[in-house]
Amino acid sequence: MSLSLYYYFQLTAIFIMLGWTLYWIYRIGQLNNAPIAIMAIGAYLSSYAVLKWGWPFAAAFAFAVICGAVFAVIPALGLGRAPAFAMVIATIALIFIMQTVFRNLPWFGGALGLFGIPKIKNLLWITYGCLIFFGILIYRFDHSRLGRAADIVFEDRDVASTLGINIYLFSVCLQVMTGVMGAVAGVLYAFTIRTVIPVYFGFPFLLAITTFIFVGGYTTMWGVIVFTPILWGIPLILPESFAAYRNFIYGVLLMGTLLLRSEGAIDRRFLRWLRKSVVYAFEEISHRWKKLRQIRG
Amino acid sequence: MSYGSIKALRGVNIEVNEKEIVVLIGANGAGKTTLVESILGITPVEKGRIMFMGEEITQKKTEYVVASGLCLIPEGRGILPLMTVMENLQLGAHHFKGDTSENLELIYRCFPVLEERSKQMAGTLSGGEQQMLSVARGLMSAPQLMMLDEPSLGLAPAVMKDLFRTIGELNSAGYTILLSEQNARQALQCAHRGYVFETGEIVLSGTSEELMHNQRVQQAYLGGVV
Amino acid sequence: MEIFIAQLINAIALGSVYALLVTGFNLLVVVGGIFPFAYSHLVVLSMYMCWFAMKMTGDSVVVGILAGVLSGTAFSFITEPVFRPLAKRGAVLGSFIVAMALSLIITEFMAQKLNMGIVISFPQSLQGKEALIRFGTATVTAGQIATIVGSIGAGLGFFYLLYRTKQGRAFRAMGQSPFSARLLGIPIVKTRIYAYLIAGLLGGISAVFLAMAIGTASSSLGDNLALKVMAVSMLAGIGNLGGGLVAALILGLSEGMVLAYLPGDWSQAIAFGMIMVVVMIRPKGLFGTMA
Repeated sequence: MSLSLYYYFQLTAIFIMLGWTLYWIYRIGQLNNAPIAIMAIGAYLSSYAVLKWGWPFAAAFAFAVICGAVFAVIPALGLGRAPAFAMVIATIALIFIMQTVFRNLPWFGGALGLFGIPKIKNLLWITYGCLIFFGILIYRFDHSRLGRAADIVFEDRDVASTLGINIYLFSVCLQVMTGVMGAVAGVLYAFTIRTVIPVYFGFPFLLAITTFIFVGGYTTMWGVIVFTPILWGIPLILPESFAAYRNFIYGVLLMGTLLLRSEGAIDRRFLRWLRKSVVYAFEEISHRWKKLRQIRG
Repeated sequence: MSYGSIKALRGVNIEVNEKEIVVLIGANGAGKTTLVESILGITPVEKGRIMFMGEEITQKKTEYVVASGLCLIPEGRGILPLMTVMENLQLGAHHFKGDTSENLELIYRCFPVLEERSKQMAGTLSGGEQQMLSVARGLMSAPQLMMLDEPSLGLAPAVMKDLFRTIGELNSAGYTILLSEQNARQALQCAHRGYVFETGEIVLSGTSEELMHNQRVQQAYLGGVV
Repeated sequence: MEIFIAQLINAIALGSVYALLVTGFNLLVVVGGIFPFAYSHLVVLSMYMCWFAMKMTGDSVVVGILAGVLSGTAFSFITEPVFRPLAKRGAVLGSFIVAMALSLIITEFMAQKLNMGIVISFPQSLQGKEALIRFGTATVTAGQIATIVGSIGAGLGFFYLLYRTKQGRAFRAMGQSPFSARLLGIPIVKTRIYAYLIAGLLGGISAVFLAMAIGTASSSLGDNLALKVMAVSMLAGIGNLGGGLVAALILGLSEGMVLAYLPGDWSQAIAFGMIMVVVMIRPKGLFGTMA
């Protein structure tokens, strides 16, 4: 397939994964941007392992993800109980710190970063495999007791704790899970673009992902799936002059959505309506089909 | 007016005349607070009108209503604990045009405690003192109509007596008062007229004498015979 | 030793501007009821306005200062209606995201449209680099003195407003209990608008002093400042005006001193590291939240 299509599919999948990390933690009402910082870890460590130590991809992958997970635990423990603001700001700070660290440590190429990362065969399959894996995980989460518990925590934390839900533990687990996802996304990203520079993992990137999830809808996992390809893809097709305004448009869309339709485009009501309509349409069609067969004899 | 799909008040008609003390009696949640808050413009009114001193104030914003001379001393006192007593009083006069020193004199006469504690943080005052501060704050704007929502809540009996006595004194000094109370006995004893609320509707009205001798009122709110 | 003092003065100047910024920020938090992430970006935009004004009038310092201050006030005023529905709903986290989006828009605008994205440099006349005091090999410049004195003056003026005037009382009342404020007949929307105006004024003044202290501005300065302002207010406790001042000075001092001895980048990382640690140990900040 053409290179641009390859990039599109790869990056869309990676961004969906990142959108899910924000989604998952926001289920309990916390805005945690750490996965993006951990993405940097995943990207740098895996590429370093392959480039400078000559490790095979699988080993580098595992190494980076484990480091990411370990690293995710530390802030998770500290932030699990933090008030919402504290968490957002601390994790944004984390992103900046991570950028600075990687930019200034001697082994990672400074501002120019690492490049010449080798191509990995079947990366597309691996990426989508991970995507589906995490998708199933989140789907199962949403449709389980845990998902319902998350709903309660989102609505009213005090009520949730009186019901015996351990918010701290919940938060820590989710932070580690999303940290792992972030690390995976980072590895895949590094091996897709095949260069890693500090600029990638910064603020505008965070805002783009935030836009995908809040415009798409943060109450379900599907909003991200539908809107990431659209919001990410359309600027790619537009002529150069428009493409420069991409971040600008993201900002405007994000503001507009929050002010006008605060839950995002795809919310639970919409999904319920969708399911009802699909079921209805299906029944109508099978009904008509049966009648047709009766007439035919 | 309604909260969502549940109507909180239905067909309520009350009147307060100058220099009267009118009391609203009823259990918690019967609608008294809703009524008082909607007069002030905090809760929107669906049907009906509110007239004050010949002017319709139904859809007006709270700041307008307060500036016209109404004030509400809310349930739970609504004082600002992180500000001093004096500052709380000054806030009460936010809409008052003119020199507030006369108002302050009146207040310090009625509530000498407040003068003593004028530089203290309002949050450090006792329950009774906070109630006094709340009433005093309302007085700072020299209101045409004072509305008090459950002022006796959480007060010790001795303090409660003082409270009702003060209300009577204020009335003698010329203040018109609309009082909403669960403590029916003391409220009726100091009021001129009253309305009885049950689940958002007025079920009885009359002079306080009539209400005090009404069987239903006696059984439900006065604990038997007065 | 003299160098140390010179750097100390520089750090204090920086810290005092941060203090002004944090004060404006906290005002918007407490009275505006939102999380004004885009505040610093508006300040940087005002810096650009100051620069443009000076360019157009042949480097007139007076015009530059006026432009900076007025545009700061105006920009803040314009954003009030945007945040009004969010403030009404009490959707603080939502306002944070909206503010983030706004900051992105402003940053992109500055990067694409203003001076074609090139870093702007403020004329010497504004920067006030003439040395006013000399001791040994170190000098204290006019700019630094102006910044420190001006910031203190603005700060004092603001605190006077807050603690000794009617409007200030109204601000504090709204911050502590919007319901009680309403009952007192304090006009909620108008008061919020005043808060935005004053925060904007403080922002405009900060813009001018930043131009003096830093000397340059770029589109990335917005994000940079926003994070520092947030960091300071987290350190002190969001909404805590007095604490914010102290924390701002601390940040200014540490940044100034670190900048002198470590390459530029690390100073930011250290500042943020400090913040993260504080947040994890004492989420309410060192001095506790609320005015």
